[in-house]
Amino acid sequence: MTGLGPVETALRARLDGGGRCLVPYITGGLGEDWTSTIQEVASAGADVIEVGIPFSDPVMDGPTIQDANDRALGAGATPPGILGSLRGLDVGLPLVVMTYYNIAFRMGLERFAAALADSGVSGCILPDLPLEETGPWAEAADACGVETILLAAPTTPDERLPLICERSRGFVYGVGLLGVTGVRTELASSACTIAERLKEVTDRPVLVGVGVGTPEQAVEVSGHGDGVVVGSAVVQRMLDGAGPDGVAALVAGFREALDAEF
Amino acid sequence: MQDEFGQVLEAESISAGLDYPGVGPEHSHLAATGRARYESVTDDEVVEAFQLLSRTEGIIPALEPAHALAWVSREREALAGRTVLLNLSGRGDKDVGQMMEILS
Repeated sequence: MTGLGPVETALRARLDGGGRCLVPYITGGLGEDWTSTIQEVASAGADVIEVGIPFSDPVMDGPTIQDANDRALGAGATPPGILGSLRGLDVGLPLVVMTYYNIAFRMGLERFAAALADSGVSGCILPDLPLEETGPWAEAADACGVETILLAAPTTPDERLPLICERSRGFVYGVGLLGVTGVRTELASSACTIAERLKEVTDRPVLVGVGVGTPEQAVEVSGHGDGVVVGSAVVQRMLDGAGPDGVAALVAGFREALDAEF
Repeated sequence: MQDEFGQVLEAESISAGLDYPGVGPEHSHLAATGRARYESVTDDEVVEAFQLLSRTEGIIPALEPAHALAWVSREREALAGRTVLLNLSGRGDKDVGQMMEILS
């Protein structure tokens, strides 16, 4: 891939204006109105939206997103179904898909990459795909113009960080703590640390997710990096039946807090 | 074990250690290259084998190697006179509570 893709372009536009990036996560297929939720969230100040394709064994996810996965799968969500729904959406900002490797592997890497591109999806996160195994997928994704976003954990050694950043497209996803996704009472110190460590070795946008569940936590960690991914807090709102407007109001709260500080 | 989309399916086994929907790459390789053959036994045969070893040797096998014992027991005529090496990979103390329920 030459030049910047849509994800990195959108994030850089926010950063160039002095702001911090906000990437809400929405579980695909959760409820009848999940595509309306994407549209409302897009209007509420998101820079990029991450859409989860539900998987039976979401090893990175905590109880909230596990529950969301189960409910979506129980309602009949499938990868082609989710992508088909995304194809019809025009939300005016880039979408990235987050799912697990077996979904892509089962469909076939080239087919999956092509299906993402065909659905208007700009990027992809496969958290259970380690750097050393990324080659075939990243080639397929590059060929379709899909930005592959890689993750760095608090336990990632220093010498490995540049390798992850070099191969990552769109942004680098800093995992905020040693654990699964979910809202925590306090921001882990490891969230700020991974942001700082990544900023030292890359010019790509550095976003931190996992354990970032309140606007205050988003502001705190964004003082060390370029922004946040907010998943479980958003999905919990969906599970609570807040509807597209209610979820958008939550996201707007994150946007306002970030804009007030940066 | 997966569906057409790659969603992992529920497995079922009397043995917790075998209640898993996947096969490790080493076993897959050994099977593909013909260096190992994989056989199956039923839960009932496993329960029988568990009791057989416990009664005859005073050794309580875990339910996982009890699968191997069940196969040896089933094939005893074909195996007669030959040397059999069986890896009793775990002890069944952990399984006695479950066996009590099964046998009661």
